[in-house]
Amino acid sequence: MAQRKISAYWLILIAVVLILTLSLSVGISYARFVTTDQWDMLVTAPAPTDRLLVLDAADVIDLGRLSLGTTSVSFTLSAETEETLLCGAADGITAVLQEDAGIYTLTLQADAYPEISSEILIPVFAGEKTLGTFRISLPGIGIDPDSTEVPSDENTQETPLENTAYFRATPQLLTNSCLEIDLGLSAETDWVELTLGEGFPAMARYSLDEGSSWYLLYYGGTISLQAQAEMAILVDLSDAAQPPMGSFVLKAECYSSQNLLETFSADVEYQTVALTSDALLTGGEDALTLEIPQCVRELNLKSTIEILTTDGAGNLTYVGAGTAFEVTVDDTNRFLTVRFAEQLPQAGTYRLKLAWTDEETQAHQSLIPFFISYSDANTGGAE
Amino acid sequence: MNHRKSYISPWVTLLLAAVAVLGCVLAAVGVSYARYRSGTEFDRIFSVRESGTVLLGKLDDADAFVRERNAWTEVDGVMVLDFAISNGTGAKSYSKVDQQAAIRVLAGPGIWDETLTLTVDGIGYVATPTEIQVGSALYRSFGEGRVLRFLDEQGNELTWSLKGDGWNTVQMQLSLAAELTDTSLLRLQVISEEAL
Repeated sequence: MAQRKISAYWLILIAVVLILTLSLSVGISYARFVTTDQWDMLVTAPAPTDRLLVLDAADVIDLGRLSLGTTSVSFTLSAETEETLLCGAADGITAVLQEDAGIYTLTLQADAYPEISSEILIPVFAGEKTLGTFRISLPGIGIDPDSTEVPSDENTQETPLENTAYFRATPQLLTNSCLEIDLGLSAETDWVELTLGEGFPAMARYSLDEGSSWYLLYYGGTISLQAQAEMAILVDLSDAAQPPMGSFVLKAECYSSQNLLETFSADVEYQTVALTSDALLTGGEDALTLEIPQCVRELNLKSTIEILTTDGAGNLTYVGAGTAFEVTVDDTNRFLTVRFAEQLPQAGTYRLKLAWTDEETQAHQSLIPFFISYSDANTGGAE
Repeated sequence: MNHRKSYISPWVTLLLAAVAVLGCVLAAVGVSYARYRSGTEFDRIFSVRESGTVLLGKLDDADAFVRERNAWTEVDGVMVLDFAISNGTGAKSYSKVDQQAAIRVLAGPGIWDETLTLTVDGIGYVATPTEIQVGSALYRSFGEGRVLRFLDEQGNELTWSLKGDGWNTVQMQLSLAAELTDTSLLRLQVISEEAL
């Protein structure tokens, strides 16, 4: 009797094993695979002046800061009009409006910088109706004419334009690309036109006071400078737009009143790495390193990290990222590193905000976007 | 007569139920195991069907698929990306499984008011956006943003065929017109399933 019971148990056990094996085998054989491949890409908006805008009565379209010279922007109207379009006058710039087959071109020409940065609104109207407004800003030249040094006799000797361009590329995030232009001028020189010629990358900045303050060069152009015996101009390509490498002609024309005294020129080759090209962190990486621009290393640095999110009202806003990161600077003040804190931060769009101050005055600020994502291969791309 | 009453013991019922549940669990484990093993070099124990392969890349000058990425170009303010999907990397290295591939794009919150168009064989399909749900797998891997899918008129996700009878490639183009907060993150995904 006992033997029969044992046999029955064995039979049940064998049946169970068979059923389970069959289940496993069927599951494996009928699996339908989901395979994925993916790219993470960083996209940047084209500059306003590079695209055809649509002007609406309620719009104020910001064209950003303009450098000296001519800048054009093309636009169409959101509502057709049979009246002739006119644009408002603006101090310090010339505005010309032309139309060709429904596409309007507004050409702006700025001949000189104001002493103080200014914002200019250029309304476009037909009859008494305003069809929209463009906003531009002109950087202040930032030089007090009263403080211009009077050249001494010792500086009357002509000094060739010395182009001491230097470029440093860090492998990770930021290219600290400062072009230093040293000028030695004859005593007769009253003012200098420094032209950053064709090929110069957009969105570069220049400084006349060793990096304490910066002015944006929207698309290269000409910088008019009141002459000093010796001048050092820093041109920072850190935020410059693509292409990442190229060359341009640097030209300095020295004037006495309206008379051209002498011209210097130099071919400059540059190479930068786009600021955000590597600013994408995945789960396998945990640090960003960037090189601090030399001109601000001696200043006090404050850093904050923010994440881009949508608030309750549906507005996009950056909010503090909390304690998800640690920001450290090495002993030489040269390299700044952003690391994950103990826990992995949330995936998303972040920005590193760096502000350098000199005796409580903000001298320089950088906003560096970066992104954190993790592989979702195991999710099969499913939501 | 002394009839012996036949009945099923509760324990046997319980055992059978447990076996049934365990069988289902094992079947699911089998599916997961098969999918997992498709990406590993483990020796085969059970007979697993071949998994498909789908890759993102571009067509080179000789119109051959390469696993490289084109740069975005700009045409009249619209950003354009030419790319291709393929079932392999060469005439001797391709998946022999018939697959149906869908294209999805994830857009970070810095991209809004977007119109994303996928052009295949000269036909343009406009994407339908869906918010990424907080706490979902996508939220954990990508963060806040939207999923952009290409749907047919019935609301089903469009797919393109990658036959397993050879090395097959489908050329595609993405066009993105959008407002952007500085630089923004975009994830392009191709997701393929074995054709039924």
